[in-house]
Amino acid sequence: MEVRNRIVGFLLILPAFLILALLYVYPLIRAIWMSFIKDGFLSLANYAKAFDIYSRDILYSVVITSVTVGFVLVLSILLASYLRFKEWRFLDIMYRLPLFIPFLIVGHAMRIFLAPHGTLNSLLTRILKVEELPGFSRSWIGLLWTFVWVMTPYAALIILGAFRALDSSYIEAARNLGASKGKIVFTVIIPMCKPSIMVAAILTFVRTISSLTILVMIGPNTPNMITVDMMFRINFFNDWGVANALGVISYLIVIVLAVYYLRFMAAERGGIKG
Amino acid sequence: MMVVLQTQNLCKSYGQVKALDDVNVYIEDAQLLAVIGPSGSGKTTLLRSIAGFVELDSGKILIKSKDVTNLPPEKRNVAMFFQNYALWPHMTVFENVAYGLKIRKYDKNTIRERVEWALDFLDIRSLAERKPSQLSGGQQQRVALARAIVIQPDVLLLDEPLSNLDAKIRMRIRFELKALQKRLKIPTLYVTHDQEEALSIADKIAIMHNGKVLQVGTPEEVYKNPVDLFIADFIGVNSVVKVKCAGEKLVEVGNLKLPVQKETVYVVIRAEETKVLPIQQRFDIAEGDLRLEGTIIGKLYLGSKYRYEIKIEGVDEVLFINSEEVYNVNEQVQIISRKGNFFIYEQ
Ligand SMILES: Nc1ncnc2c1ncn2[C@@H]1O[C@H](COP(=O)(O)OP(=O)(O)O)[C@@H](O)[C@H]1O
Ligand SMILES: [Mg+2]
Repeated sequence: MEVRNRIVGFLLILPAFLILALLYVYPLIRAIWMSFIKDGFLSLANYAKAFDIYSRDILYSVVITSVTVGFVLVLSILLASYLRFKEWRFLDIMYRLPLFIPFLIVGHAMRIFLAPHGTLNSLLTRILKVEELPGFSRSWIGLLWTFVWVMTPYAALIILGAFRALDSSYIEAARNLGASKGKIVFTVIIPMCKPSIMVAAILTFVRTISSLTILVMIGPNTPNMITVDMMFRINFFNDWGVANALGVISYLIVIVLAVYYLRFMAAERGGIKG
Repeated sequence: MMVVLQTQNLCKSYGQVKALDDVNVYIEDAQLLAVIGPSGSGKTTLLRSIAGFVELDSGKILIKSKDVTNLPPEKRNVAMFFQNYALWPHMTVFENVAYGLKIRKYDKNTIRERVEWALDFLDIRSLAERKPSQLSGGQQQRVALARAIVIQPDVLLLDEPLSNLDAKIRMRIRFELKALQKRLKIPTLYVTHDQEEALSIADKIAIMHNGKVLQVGTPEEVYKNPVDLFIADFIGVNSVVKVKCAGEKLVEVGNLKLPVQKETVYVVIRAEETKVLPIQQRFDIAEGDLRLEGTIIGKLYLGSKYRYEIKIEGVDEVLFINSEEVYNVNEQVQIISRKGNFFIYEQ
């Protein structure tokens, strides 16, 4: 009886498991495997080449992504704090709008907005009373701006959800003891919502480091981020080996984060800081 | 005598619901005012408006003669005790209690001294370094109290502080709380739906119903002289006899003939202070005492006594009265209630 139940249970999850294996696990393993193959032999040559040509880009990816995460967290915590204390339906709806705009369109809009004679610069030249300004659209500033613009709503959605789920009595107890709203955000709300803020940070990191569309639309030509390098390796050199090596490197960066996150969660739950 | 807290004509509506309807209460010196009433009567709304969490429609709140009606919660020096304790889980007991002092920017030594005083006062010094999740319900409650009293508030607000504890502990804490309040001499507003708790702990009681304060007085006053049917029935353990009068000017309830003007007469009988006697037993009743005759239709054993269900001829509601005597079902009995132990109202 016991065994039969298990078999039935196994059969029930089998389709889902197969799809997952076929669409996710198999390509992942294959990509990892191929990153170690050079000219039909097992070797580290792809990695050597990837680090040789692209170590600057790898660093650049990590830095741009980290700075993006920093800005996104600050903005979304500000927004979420504001909306936690004050109901403002307009803002509540507006901040979510970018969620529904495809990256391609965002990239295009930002290209116009940030171009040498684009919206931002016409405004700035008039305010600063100067003739000409360089465009931001092919620079790290424009890229950062766009990433932050695109990623903030996602993070804010997660963080505001957590802030709103926090029982009001925790906040009221602090106000009752004399704390201002700003003080409460730092001493009560953020510490109590830390797990959700971590999730928002990690999702933002992963989404940013793996994005391609926006980079192609407005990213600087050099240095570039890992995803663009992968695309070049494949499109221009048909070099899947190095592309896969770069892919594995970005997996590893994310896995470091994931491990950090899991250890943080374990510490939150069981108090076993390691 | 100094009035520490005074509310003047507080009104607050939520849509059609009048949560507060012209509420006037006050606390003198270090009194404990218990606000009681059934669920939904506006007790929490009253407490929260004193703390500053409710935007009033009209009315004024004075604390130590100062108008605080328009001050935000953080600017009022009142301490609220939350029903769920609301201890911050990421802080230790010490940090929880120190929070209000840190906000007030006391120096480190003063904070340490005052927190340790509060922890000692509530006998929880040994828990200082624990997190709230490592405490029992009773211990959490003490921490929440320590956090509230350590800031030396002008008024202490307690919203059903004992409702999360089980019955046995509740009895003990009730007395501890009263002793603590007397020692600290903090004016206290204590909200509860448990009239027995209120009677035993309060200096004064305010009874609320549908957003209105119906009566304010000492526990003896409201117990002995309830001003209306609702209060008489709400306070104490009672049975109510309801008699409809078909246009007559006099209605007979047991031995009493009552003049009536309205449609229905209600007699609220304090069940704890009523005797059940065998029907034949001679018993001298004085002027104004109530004597009813009835039949036992059910009984429950309560340990030291029985709880009898008694049916009275011509009355729909059955009475529930406790007695140490033993009777059998279907036995005829007489019920005697002395003057002052029952109340008559018309409606
Ligand atoms: N924030 C609110 N929104 C709508 N109605 C409320 C709100 N707070 C209280 N009420 C209503 O006001 C009445 C009094 O509530 P409350 O003060 O909580 O009563 P109590 O504490 O005596 O049980 C109830 O009918 C309740 O439904
Ligand atoms: Mg309540």
